[in-house]
Amino acid sequence: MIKPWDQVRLRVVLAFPDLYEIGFSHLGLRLLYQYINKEHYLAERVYAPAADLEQELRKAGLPLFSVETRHSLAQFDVVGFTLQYELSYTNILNMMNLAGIPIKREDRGETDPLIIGGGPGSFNPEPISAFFDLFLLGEGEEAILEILAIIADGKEKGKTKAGIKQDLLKVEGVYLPEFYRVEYTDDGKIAALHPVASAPPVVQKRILRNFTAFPLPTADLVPWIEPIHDRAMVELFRGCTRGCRFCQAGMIYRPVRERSPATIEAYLQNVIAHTGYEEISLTSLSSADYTKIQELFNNLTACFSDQNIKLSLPSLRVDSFSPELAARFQSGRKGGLTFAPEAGTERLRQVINKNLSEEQILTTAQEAFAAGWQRLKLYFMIGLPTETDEDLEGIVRLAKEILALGRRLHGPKAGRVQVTVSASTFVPKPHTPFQWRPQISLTETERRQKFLKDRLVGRGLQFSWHDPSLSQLEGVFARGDRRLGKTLVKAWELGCTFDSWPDQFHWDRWVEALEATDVQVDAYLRPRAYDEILPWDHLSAGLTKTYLRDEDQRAEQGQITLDCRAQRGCSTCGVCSTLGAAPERAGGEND
Amino acid sequence: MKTIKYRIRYSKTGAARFTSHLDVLRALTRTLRRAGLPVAFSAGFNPKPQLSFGPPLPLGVESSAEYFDLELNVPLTEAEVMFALKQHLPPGLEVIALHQLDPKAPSLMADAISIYYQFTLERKNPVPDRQVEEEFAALWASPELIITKKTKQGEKKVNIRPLWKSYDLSFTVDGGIDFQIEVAFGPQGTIRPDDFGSFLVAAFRIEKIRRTEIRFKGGERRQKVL
Repeated sequence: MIKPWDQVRLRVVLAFPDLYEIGFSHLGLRLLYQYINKEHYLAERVYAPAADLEQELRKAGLPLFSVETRHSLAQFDVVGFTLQYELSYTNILNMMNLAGIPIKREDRGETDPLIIGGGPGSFNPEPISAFFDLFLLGEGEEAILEILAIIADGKEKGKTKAGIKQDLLKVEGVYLPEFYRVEYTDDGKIAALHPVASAPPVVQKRILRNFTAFPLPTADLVPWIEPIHDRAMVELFRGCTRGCRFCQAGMIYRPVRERSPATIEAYLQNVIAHTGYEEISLTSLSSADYTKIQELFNNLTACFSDQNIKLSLPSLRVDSFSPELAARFQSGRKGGLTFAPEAGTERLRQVINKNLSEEQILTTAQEAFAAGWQRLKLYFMIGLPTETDEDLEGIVRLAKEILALGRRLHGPKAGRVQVTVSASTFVPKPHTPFQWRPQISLTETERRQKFLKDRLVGRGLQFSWHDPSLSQLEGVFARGDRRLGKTLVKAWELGCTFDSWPDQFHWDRWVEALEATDVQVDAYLRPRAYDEILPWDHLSAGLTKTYLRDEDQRAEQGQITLDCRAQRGCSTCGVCSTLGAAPERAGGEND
Repeated sequence: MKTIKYRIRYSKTGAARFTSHLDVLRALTRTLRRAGLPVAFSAGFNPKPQLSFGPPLPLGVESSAEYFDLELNVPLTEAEVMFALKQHLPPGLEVIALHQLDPKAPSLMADAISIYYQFTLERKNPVPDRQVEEEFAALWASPELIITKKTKQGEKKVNIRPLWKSYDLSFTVDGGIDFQIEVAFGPQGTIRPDDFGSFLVAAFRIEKIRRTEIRFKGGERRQKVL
């Protein structure tokens, strides 16, 4: 979409700090792109240039420019970065620098763009707070338009950035880091967090109160080159109240709000007619939990089967898997099937509130094999609170049992059965019940990985793991504070970009940057006391601290907490009362 | 089911020249769906739209002679198909001509016999037109033109001269040069325009390469229809 540059009130460039192939697949930016362009503003896009393009740009002295009209980022009024993962932060600095925009807020003048951020990273943006003017906590559909209206008004009235920011303080969900002052204790903890002037002491996240009725865009982008997820996407629902205690998405996107099948169908019919996509992805945090999944599926099949459009359902839970459901969403060859038991023993699964019994997992695996699948992938985390070698042993046992099951069921084709165990390292995240928990050290991560590596050997078994140093860095920034800004700059100056790409990750440079800026990794991975001031205490996802603490204590005792959708009552997380919201189910039966 | 075949000629210009063959294929498939055309699909587990393409175009080369054959389940007039495509093609791709095809017509790949490429050139040194003409005449007179091809087994030397069938040279008012070549296409091989360009870069800057025409076995008659 190309809008006339000179005939809009405000120009925004939406920036994804990773490659086009990744960034294009992100639904959130695609939605905002449509909502902004519908108004008297212009939204364009930019992605992080790969090393070869960066080199060419720097050699030719060209600034980083937008996809649509090739204007330099510096020529826009607003640059909006999405903060999807901590390890994309060096790319943000690099992109600003490539466009000639001073990376630090204090070095930018009146003519430089306002740099804003949104996405899950906004729930603890402290490590990057020196580089941004504003963060939006929570859902952006309405909020972005309110923010842009204030900026446009301010510009038209000749207000300075300071004046505009004063006005922006009033927008629900907006966090302006310069209005908060942090003091530290001698032992490196936070002594106090002071709001300055009229800033609210706590910024509450924004939610779209009429999410289920809010009009969906009438258009979508179609890429020339193939991104990782090359398809139309629609959220069946927002939020997830399963209550897994490690999961930040499950905490910060509450409450659950399901769209009606009719809304979803109408959107998809329109978007397919406008884009010609051949595949539809029904996305959500746990899509098979959608109340009306069967009805929706039947209707969509009726709509689209004659057009040869495939439906896909990502993120299947072990306990909501049925071979019938999976088969319906899978056309053609049976590739691999992925499940996430997360932990190796029932005890540990209760600790994290991922309440799957061993029997459920085995039954599901059996059903999958019986339905013809030969390759199963199992996701686990290592380093979860209270994990012992017994739990790691449980991963091995489970994988071997599933392999044996598959071999038995596939008989003569037993040799083709493959079970892959993928283990990532648990990183405690802000606004989750585990936000106070320690993260395991580099050496301990390596030991636990080796423990699994040594045991998950043999025909039909595969083990994959994450670079342990990457998880360390992710852990530092996930629960980081403002003092890490210097470290980030240093690492970027040392040449770090694309840190989430294992082949481009330079731990040695990061070690140098951490040392040069006097940062101890352990100081960020350590356990926190309940009464310690956390760097994100002035930012709220609507969850009460009491709820998070209670959940953490229930974890310690292995007590499970039920999904609030299960009609067995509210887990009193606080979201609904704090934000004036309520869970909504597609059937209309509100809890 | 009986399907109806159409042959479409389209152009690929501007930034679209940097879109690869596979990406164009995907863009066309989506164009057909947006246009609501009743495209025939292959049978089987992974139904694919029945599209077939002519000689692939190297990345970075513009073209006003790209072709694909399309099968529809419902007979539509040429004008209807043309209109639907015109409405929905992405920027950079444009339909030039379209006609219904004999169901037994050979495929584009089997039918094509030669391809024309036009090089827009600029002189690196201010030499007169006459000297340019002589240089091209000398190139045409070379008994062999050797290029180095990278293969799995390593590098291989290939003489492309036998595949070069004709050329045409013209000068523009602003001193530019339009140099057009015709190269063979078929089982005997073909010449990639960038390979040919390696003989030009010593004396010229290549501003642009454009595929301008494809000749088919069916000859002039079918060409006329387009």
